[in-house]
Amino acid sequence: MLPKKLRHNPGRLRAIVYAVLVHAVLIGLAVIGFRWTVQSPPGEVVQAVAVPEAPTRKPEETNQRAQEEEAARQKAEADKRRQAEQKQQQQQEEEEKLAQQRLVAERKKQEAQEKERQKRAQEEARKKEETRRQKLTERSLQEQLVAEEKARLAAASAARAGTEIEKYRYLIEQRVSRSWNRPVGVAKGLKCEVHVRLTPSGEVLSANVVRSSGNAVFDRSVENAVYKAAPLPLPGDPALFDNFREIRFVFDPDKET
Amino acid sequence: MKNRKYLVASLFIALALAGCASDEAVKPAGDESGAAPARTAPADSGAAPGTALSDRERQRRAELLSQRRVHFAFDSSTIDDEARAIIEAHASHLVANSQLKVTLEGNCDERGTREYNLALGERRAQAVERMMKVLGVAGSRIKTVSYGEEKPLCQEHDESCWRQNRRAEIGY
Amino acid sequence: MSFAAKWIVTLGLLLWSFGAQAVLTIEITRGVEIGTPIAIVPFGWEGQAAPAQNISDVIEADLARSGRFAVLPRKDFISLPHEDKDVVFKDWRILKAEALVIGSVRLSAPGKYQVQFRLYDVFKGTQIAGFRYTVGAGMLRSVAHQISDIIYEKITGEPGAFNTRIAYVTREAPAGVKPVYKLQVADSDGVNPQTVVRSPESLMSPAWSPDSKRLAYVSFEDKRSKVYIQNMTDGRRTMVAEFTGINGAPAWSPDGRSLALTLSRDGNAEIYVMQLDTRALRRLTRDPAIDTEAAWSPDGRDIVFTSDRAGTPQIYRMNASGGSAERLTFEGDYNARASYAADGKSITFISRNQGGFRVAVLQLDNRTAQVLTETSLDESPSFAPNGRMIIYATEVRGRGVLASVSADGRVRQLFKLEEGDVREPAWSPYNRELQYKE
Repeated sequence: MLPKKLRHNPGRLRAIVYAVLVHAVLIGLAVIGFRWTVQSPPGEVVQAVAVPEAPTRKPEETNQRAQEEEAARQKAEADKRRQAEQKQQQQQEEEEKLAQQRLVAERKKQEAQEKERQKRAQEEARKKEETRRQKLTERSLQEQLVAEEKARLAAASAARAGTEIEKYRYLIEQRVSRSWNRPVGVAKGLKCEVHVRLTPSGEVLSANVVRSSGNAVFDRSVENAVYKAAPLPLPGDPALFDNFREIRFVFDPDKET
Repeated sequence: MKNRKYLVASLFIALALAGCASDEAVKPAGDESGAAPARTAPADSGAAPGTALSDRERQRRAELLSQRRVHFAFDSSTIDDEARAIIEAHASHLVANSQLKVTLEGNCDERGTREYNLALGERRAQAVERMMKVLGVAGSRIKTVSYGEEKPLCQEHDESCWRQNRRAEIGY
Repeated sequence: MSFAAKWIVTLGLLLWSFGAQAVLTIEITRGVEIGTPIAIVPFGWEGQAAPAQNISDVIEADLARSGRFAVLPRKDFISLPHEDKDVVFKDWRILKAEALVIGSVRLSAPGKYQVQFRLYDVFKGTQIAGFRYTVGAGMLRSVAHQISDIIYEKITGEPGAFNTRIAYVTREAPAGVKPVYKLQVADSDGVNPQTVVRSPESLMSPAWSPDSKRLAYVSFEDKRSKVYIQNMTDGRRTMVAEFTGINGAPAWSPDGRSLALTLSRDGNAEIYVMQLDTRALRRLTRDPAIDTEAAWSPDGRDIVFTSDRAGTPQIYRMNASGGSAERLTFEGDYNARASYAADGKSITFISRNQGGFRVAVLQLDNRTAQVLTETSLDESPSFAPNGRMIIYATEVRGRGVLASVSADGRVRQLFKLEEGDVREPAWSPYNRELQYKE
């Protein structure tokens, strides 16, 4: 039943062509994407260089006492200075060390992260490649899936339209039934089909008996029923009018229900 | 209980016997002119010398004779007891008066179809005729005719009127 | 599924949806049975004195009474055409009329009228029929009935029975005066009665000859039942049966040469056939039961009659030459007075149903019976010559009246009440002489 309802525009051929094109593009992308993944370069790794400790200085021996004192004083000062300097240096060195260490740690971290990233990228690439491979081998199924997806979408909109169509179909049936002056005194089991063309406002363009009941009175009564029922109720949405442009009425009063 | 029943029954029997006995006793007294206890004399006065009826009998006979209609059930020509008594009275009368001729008219109520009722009316008249013949009336003196539902006595549409119309009329 | 197979499936699905039907199908299994909507425009009249008969009124009443038409009210008419050139179909489509009748009457010569009518199919916009008649004033009503017959036949496909007559008996009993019985003949609508016989005693069982020129009937004017034949053309009367006992239930053979009669000359009511030219009698039934109310089949081969040989009145059928009889009715304890429809396929009779005497119809092929009325004192059912309607006598408010019921029981109508009681209706066959063709 579904395809009948969907066949309301001649764009089907176009749809198929588009689908094929889309697939070509998708396949192309998949192929190209795979190669790109293989060529990506590895991330840079920073090596930490250890900074050796500064060597300690030997103190000089001058003027014995003064000199020695001076010297000692100077030496002491110098020593002080030297010690301070050393301390500073040490501190600096320590700081440098720390910084270096920090740097190293950071670099290590970055390295690790880089590694992770690389890993992940590799994984992804691998996955993509897998799926692309799957798609490659299951292209036809994919196309069918696409087609079904389209159909599902169309059905959803048709369902919304379909209830409209059903509603008006019922209204038309009621109107024509009420207008049909059913002949009395004719044989049982008579059946007549009338092919009717309507205008969008529900007026009858033409009504032709396509299958006669064999009884002229019966045939005429069904034609008159259609004419008297006009204008027939039609949905306001012009997109749905196509469903009602032509209607085949089957008059079958003795049908077993 | 049983004893009482027997008592009552025996009382009745005794009374009945007593009644019979008294009748027997009365009869010879009231029927001096007549010879035999059985009565065969016709009813009319002056016709049968030597036989006479009891007053009661005569009265009853006259009553019956005055009745000129016998009635029937729906779609039936069967003579019931009441009709029989009347017919017998008339038959006796006819036998006693050989110069008399009688016409029997059969009728029906309005229900049903007219031609069928014409035949049913005839059947009713013929039933009376048959009985009279059996009672000794010569066929040549009896005429039958049917009016079906064409001569009703009343025009209402209920059972009491219909019963009146379902009749055979005895006419002289 | 393999690759290739999937492709094939998809292609297949696509192709199938491509080639499917576009036309919406709607089934209509019910209709209404109000009758064909028809508009009858009052006929135009040209001339000084209008004719006594209003032809379109007669047509309207005929078609409405048939139960097959819904006559549209005149007040809704937008235009009133009398001639073809004035017809605007749109005016009638708006009213949902399926058929349209227009016409005109004019005096063509002193005492001669020219009547013309046209019948149209409104939605097709075409003329279905049209005729012109030239008649004297006395035939105007008959022309109107004939136009009704043509319209009826063209629309329903069956012959009409409007241009026919009915015979019936009336009984008038004014207070204090002896009743008077009349045998009357009127148009099929009960109008225009003519008295054929007048009598102080009862009249019964009128029966039309097949050429509708003679009427046989039962009269009690001599204080007993006798059968007479009255010639309608010259008014002369012949007495045909005055045997001992009953003379009743006259019924014409289809060739008009014999009369079936109920006579009890041999002791009880039996059915005889009398050859009218020789007066020779042939006895058909030999049974101590009542046998009466004979009626011939249209092909002349069978006779149905009423007999109570089984205890109560029932309908039987025997060969027209007599012999063994076949019982036809088995339901109920009273079935009588059967007569055939013109096609020989069914009989109408009186049946006692739920205590009431009602009009019933029996289909002879499958022996199914249908009770058509709900009154309780119905008598004398008689088919119209087109087999579509049955006229009968019934009681309304204590008075005898005539009524008609359609053969399928759908439509019932009372005739206008005459003075006094009306009973014993009989519908005439088609009168070929009244047909007009042009």
